[in-house]
Amino acid sequence: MSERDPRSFLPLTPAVFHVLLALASGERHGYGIIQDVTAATGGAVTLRTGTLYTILKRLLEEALIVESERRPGPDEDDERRRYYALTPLGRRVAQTEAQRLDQVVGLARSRRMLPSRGGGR
Amino acid sequence: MTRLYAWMLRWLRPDVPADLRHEMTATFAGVMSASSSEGPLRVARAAAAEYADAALARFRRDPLEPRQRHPGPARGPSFVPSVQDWRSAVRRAFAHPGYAATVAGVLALGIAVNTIVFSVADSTLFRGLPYPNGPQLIEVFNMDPAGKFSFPGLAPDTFAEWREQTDVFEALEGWNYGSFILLGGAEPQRINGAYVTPGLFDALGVRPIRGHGFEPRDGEPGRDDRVIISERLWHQRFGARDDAIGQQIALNDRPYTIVGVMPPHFRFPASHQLLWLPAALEQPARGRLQGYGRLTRGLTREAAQTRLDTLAASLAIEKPRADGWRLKLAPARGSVPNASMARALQILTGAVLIVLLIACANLANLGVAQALARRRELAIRAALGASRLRLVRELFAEQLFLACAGGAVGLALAVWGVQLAIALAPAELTLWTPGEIRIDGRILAFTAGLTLASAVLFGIVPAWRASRADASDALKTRASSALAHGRLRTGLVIVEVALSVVLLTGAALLIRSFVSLTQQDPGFDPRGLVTVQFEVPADRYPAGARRAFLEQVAGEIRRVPGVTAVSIADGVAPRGGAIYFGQLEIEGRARESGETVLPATSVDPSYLATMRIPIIAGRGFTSDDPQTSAVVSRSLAHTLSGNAGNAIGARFRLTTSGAWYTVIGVAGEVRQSRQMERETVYEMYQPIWRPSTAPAAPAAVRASAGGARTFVSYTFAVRAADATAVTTPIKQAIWRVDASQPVGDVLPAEALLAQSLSEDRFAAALMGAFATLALVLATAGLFAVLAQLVAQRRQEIGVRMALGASIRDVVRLIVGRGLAMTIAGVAIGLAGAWASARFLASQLSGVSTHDPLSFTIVPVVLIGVALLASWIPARRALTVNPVDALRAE
Repeated sequence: MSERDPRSFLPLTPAVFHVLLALASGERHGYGIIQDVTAATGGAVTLRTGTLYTILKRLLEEALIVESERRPGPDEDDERRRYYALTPLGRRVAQTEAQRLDQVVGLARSRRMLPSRGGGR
Repeated sequence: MTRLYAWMLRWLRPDVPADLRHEMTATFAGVMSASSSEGPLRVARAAAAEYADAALARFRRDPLEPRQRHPGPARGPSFVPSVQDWRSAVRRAFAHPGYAATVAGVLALGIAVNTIVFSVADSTLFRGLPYPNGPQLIEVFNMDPAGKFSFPGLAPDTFAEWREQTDVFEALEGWNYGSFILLGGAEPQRINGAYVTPGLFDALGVRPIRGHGFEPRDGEPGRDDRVIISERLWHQRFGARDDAIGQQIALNDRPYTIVGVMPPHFRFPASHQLLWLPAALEQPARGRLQGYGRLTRGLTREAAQTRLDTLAASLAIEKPRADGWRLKLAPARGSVPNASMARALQILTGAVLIVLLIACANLANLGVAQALARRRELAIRAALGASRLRLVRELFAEQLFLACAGGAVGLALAVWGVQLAIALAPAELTLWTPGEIRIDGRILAFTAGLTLASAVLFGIVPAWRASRADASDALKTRASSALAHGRLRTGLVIVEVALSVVLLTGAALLIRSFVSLTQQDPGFDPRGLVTVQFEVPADRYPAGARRAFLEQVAGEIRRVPGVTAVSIADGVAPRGGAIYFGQLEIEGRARESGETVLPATSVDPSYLATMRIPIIAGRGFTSDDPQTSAVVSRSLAHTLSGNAGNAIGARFRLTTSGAWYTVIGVAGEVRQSRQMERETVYEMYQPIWRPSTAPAAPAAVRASAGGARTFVSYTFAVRAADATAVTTPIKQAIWRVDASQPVGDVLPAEALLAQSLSEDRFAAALMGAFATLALVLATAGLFAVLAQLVAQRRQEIGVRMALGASIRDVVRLIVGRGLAMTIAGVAIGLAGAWASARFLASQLSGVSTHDPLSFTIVPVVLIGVALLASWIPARRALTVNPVDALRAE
């Protein structure tokens, strides 16, 4: 089965992108993803449970993530919890989106919407 | 919180598999525990956001396909709107706030007023007894031996006999009214209660909420000192404390022990019964008992009646009784308000149905207008490949959404309105209502169903037709479009106007009648007059001692500063004393055939002067007049002897009472209560005391209007400089004579008169409100049609103006159209109002059913309002710039 072109998923919604980014540093369970997103954005983005699981469901269907077989140590594991991990496709999609955003940011910078890199600080 | 989340997921998210729901719940728990340190407000906000998110997430667009419309799963043709249909419906509703608000508003009003009136009418007139066993209960009446009429109250010995007939009655219980003085409160309180056989509450199927019911032998000597109190009294006297059970209260100077508290809204037999005492059949002093029972299982009422008739015949031979043994069984339905109140409610129910019809016509009108406005859009979308089913589904979803929004608002209004209606309703309406007045689910379903159906039907059918139109036609046709729709809409407006004319005329008649009642001369001078209702316990003041007591009280009241005169009577109009019935017999003449109703007030010699009732002929009473002397009203004097002067010395009697009265004077007419007014035009007065010179004479048998068993009603008529200032000093004066004597209403006569019109005021006010609502709805309908007309004919108007049409021509075009519709509606409506006015006849006083003023004012008002409603669209037409209009073409 040939893999779908990562670009066909772009642009990602901010919520989806944040979920993929949260999983980029390792597998997590649902609440872990919410915690990570909140921490990484300084509270600017708050994922709600219902939204998160809608996103996870679609990401699973499109094979951007998988449910992980591995579990952390038994003392911190809760048998109800599932862990999710990025697939290679998911990682590529997130990278492609990041590149796309980088280009957009570069464009914004060239139009002096942002201070240029290296200067300004 | 977490359990609620899990529960909500299970019900709202059937799309999520169970294991994933557990997972989500765990995540939710994590989120909530993390936020728990941030203060309750934040926690609540987070929880609310989580709940909403979980409920709505399935309706979100696909997170991976944000730009595309959700294609949805492949589905067969279905009328059930998809999520997407709902979404576009809601969007559309917010995009057309005017239309959406009007549809929802009309629905809300229609549902609310109908639910309110039907709920009140149903609770008071139609609903059966609100007891668990209500449907199986029967009421047992006596029947006279000839089987002609039935009357309540079974003698205790027959009651015991019938109780033995267990093959007919599974249970036979009884009750009787009781009146009591309750001490221990801020002031002595005269309260109503009832004596009930110990098994009555079980037969009804109602159990006390505190304590227990009566036991089988309660009421017998030694076990008759127990009482069950109502929830209301429990709150008033005991602050709803549990320790009320076992406490004692003093009733008629005797201690009783509280054994139980009945549930809220338990009313037996009426809402003013505050407590119940046990009645034993062996205590005939309790009087006759009204029968309530349940028939033996499997026996129909008809079969039971046949069986009872046979039994009665054999009992009549075995143990003959003067009043016979026959019984009549009737389905138990409790008491109902008096006939005129019932009539008023029926009229209001009819009125509110008309409002409902107008609301439906208005919805239809709006639906057609909307379809017309969207004709082009629908035709284009159909041409571009949207299936008609899809279009209709979308419209269906939109109408349904608006209908639900309107329904929710309507329900809220109805809940509030029923409370308001109870607060405003005359006491007569709610007193006898056996249960709580509340919104009935069936009624709500009916009104909501009807309005929803019309909203949906009239929203979809025209649109369906519009969507069928050929796209090129729809795009081409403009000014001349939709003639057929125009006719339909014109018809609807005419119907609305006609129906509102009917309502407005009815309201005008009722209001005119009410105004004429308030302006009627009451026949006495109510200014500065205070009436004091006063019930004397017959056991404490037996007939011999009563006069001295009452005169002592009158003397004490006379000493209150500001009081100029005090008189004693057994009632003051419109709450009169006694009512005599019978055939009128005039000395020297043949007996009159029909039944005469004669309100009779027993008064002391100063009464007519205190009340300022004019003496037209003869004289008033002195303390030497015998009790068979009478002062009669002018109408009775006319019947007796043709005119007032000749009536002096005439003698008459009512066949039932036996005593012959001699007329010594003729007095002016005094207005009676509204109900009595419908029965009779006569009045009479007689001395309240026996002449001091005469030995004891047998008192006439009188039917007291009060009906209290152990109390005798009196009223003091008090003249004072300022009626409102003396009410409290009067009570204190009475308590200086006897501190345990309860005092009833102490009311300025003007308040009493106003109270006597409460039914009329209620009916006129509600009818006025409904008529106003009808007028607003009809005007809105008219306005909508004309506004649409202007919008459709913009180009035509522009062309006409470009070709030299004057402002007058344009105005005439629009206003003329509006007037034509109005006049057609008014003509039909007037004919309907003329024909239906006779239903109001029994409610009207001082105004004819075809009152010319009412029938003139209504058309004038309607045409005036119609002109206003036409003027705004006409002005809009005048702003049409011919150049713009032509360019658009």
